[in-house]
Amino acid sequence: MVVRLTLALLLFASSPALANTGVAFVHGTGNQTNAYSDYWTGEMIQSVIQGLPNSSNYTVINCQFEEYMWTSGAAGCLAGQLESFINAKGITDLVINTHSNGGNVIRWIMSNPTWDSRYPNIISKIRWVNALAPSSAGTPLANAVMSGTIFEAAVGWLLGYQNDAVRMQQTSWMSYYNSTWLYGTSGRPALPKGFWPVVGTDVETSIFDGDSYCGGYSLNLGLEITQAWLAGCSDGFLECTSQAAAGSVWFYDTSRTNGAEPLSHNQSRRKCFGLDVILRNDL
Amino acid sequence: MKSIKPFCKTLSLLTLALVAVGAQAETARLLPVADGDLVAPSLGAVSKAGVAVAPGLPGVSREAVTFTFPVGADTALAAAPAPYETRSREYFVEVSAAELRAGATIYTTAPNALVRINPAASEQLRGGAAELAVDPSSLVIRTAAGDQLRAADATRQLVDAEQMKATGVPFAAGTTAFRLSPSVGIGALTVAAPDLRSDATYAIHVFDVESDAVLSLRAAAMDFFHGQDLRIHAHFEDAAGRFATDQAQGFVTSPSGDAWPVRWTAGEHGLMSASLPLDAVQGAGQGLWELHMAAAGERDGLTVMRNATTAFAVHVPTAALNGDVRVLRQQGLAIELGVSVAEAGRYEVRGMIFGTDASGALVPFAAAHSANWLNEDGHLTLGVEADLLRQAGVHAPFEVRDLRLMDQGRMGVLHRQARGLEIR
Repeated sequence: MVVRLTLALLLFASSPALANTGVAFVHGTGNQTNAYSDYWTGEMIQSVIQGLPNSSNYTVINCQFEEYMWTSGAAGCLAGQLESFINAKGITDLVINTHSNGGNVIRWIMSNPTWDSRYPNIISKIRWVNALAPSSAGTPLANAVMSGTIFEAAVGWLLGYQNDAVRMQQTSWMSYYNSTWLYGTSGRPALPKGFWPVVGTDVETSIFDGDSYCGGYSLNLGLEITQAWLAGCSDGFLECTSQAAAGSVWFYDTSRTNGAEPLSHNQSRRKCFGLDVILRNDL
Repeated sequence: MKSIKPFCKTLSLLTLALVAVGAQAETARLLPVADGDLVAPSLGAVSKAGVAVAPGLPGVSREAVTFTFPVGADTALAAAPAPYETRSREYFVEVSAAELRAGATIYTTAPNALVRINPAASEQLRGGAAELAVDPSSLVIRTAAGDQLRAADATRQLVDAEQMKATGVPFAAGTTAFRLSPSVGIGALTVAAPDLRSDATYAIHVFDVESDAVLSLRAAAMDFFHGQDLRIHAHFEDAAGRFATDQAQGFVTSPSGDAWPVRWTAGEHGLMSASLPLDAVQGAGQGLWELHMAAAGERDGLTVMRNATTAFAVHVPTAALNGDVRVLRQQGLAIELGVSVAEAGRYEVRGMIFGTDASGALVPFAAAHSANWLNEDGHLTLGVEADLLRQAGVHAPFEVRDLRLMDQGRMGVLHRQARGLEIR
C-alpha cells in the first residue's frame, strides 16, 4: 500500500491534471492479427484491465513482429497503434505490458526517439513498461535455430528461410544492437522511461504437478530438449540473464507468484499463478 | 521498488534559437579522437570511388526531431563496445537421404550429446519439409566400438517433430531430436535411418553439450567501414588450454544475401586468423553481416567439429562530423555540430551531456538526440532546456560524451567518440 501510494503521488505530482490511465499489451515474435485471443487470451486481458479506472482504456497490439524491430511493420506499426490509442482515448498515463520480443520493439522506440516524429509523444505518455520475459540479450536457442538455415543458391548468393525477428534475437546480434541502437543495458544510457522486467526462472514439466498445465502448456518432451541450450535459470526460451539484461528487474517470478510457481516463457503471457493480478494492481 | 522517472524533453524552439542568435554563439572544436573511438574514413573515398550508396529504409522521415531526457548521475558508460565472442560446442553437417539410410557419422567428445535432424535449408525453402521428418524411433545408432543399438536403447530423450513444434521454438519444419544415452559412449558414432523414404537432403546438428572443447570466434570490432578489412580470430580451447585447428572453412554473408569465402591462416598457440576486404555497397541491406565458420581439430584422439557464427556491421561513410561546433547558453544549452554529407540522408547526432555538480564533480545528467534530413553539408543541434539544467543542479564545465553520428536511413554508425566535446 505504501509503495502504491507513493507511486500515485509521484504520478499526480508530475501531471497538471488527473491522469487518464491506459494500458497496452504488446506481443512477442510473430505476426499477429488477433493477439487478444491468440497471444494473451481474453481471460488474461480482462483480468488485468480490472485495475483501470476506465476499463475501456486498453489496447491489444497486432503487428508484424517477424520483422526486424526497427521496420515499419514492427516499431512503425507499434507506434501507429499506440498513437491512435493515445489520441482516441486521451491517454496521459500509459502502462505498457510487453512479452518477449515485444520488449525489444518498445525499447527500440524509447532508444531512438528521433527516428520517427511520433515517438517523442508516445514516450512522453509512457509511465513505464512492464517487460514480461523480455529477450533483451537474445537467446542461445535463436543461435541454434539459425544454424544451418542458409544455403548457396548460386555461387556467392545465399538464401535462407528463418524470419528476421528470430535472426535478430541471436545473442551476437542483440549484443550488437544493445551496444549501438538500444539503451538500457549495462554500460549504456538508461531508457527515458522505466523498463521493468519480470523474469521467468524455470519450466515445470512434471506430470504430477497440475501447475505445469497452466496457460494450456503441458508436459512436453521438447521443452526438456530445449533446456540443454540454456543456463540453469531460464523460462524455457530465455535465460534469466537475458530477461534481466535491460532496465531494472521488477521481480523474479517465484518471489511474487501464487505458490512461488515459476513462469515458463509461454505462461508469462497467460493468467497463471496470479500474474494477472500483479499486473492489475500495477495499474 | 518501481519508481517513475522524472521526464523532460527539449522543444525544437531551443534549436531554432541557436540559428536566430548565431552571432552570440561560442565556437569550439571536437576533442581529438582516442583509442576505441570510431571515426569514418575520408568521405572523399566514397565519392571518388563512384559507388552508389544503397537506398535506405522505406519511409525514412524527413522531419526534424529533437529529444532530450534526464539520466541519473550514476549512469556508467562503457568506453567502447567490446566485440562479441561466440563460444560453440555445436556443429552440423548435411547428408543425403541415402547417406542417412546407410548411416551418417557424427563426432562427440563427451557423453549425453544432443542431436537434431531436420530437412535441410534447401528443403525448407522448397516446402513440404514437415512431411520429410525422420521418425526418431526408427533410428539405429552404431557406437565407436561397432555395437549397433536401437534408438530406444541408445537415447535418453526421443522427441518427434510434433513435440518439437509444440515447444514454440521455431526450429526447422520436420525437426526431430534425441539425446544420446551415456551407454553409447563418445567418439565417431553412426546415425542411421534405415526406414527413411525420401530423397531429400538432411541437416544433422550435434550439440556436444557436456564437452569442454569450444570453438571461440571473435571479430576484431563490431563496426567496420566500407573498404576496410574484416579481421577475425578463432581458436579451439578446452579446460587444458588451446589446441590446434586442423581444418577451417568460413564465409561472410551480407544483408544483401551475398557471400564471400574466407581463407584462414594458422598462427601461434592455436590461433586462427582471417581477413577480408568489405564491400558495404554491394552488401547493403537491413540487418547485420555474419561470419560463419566450420572447424575441425583433434583432442585426445577424438575428432572435434564445431560451427560458429558471429555478427558485425559494415557502414558506408555517408557523412561525418566535421569538427566544427557552436555553443549557445541562452535558455539552456544548445550544441550545434557540423556535419559533412556525402550522400543525402536522415542523420542523427546523440550524446550524453555531463555537467558539473555542486561538489565540482562532472556527472551525466541528460541524453540528447537530434535528427534531420540533410541533402548537403549542414548541422544538427543537441539541446538541453534550462529547466533540466536546474533540475540536475549542474553548471559549466560541460562535456558531451559517447558522441555519435548515425545514418538512420542506412542503419549506419558513422562516428562514436567516448569524449567528444568540452564546454568550459
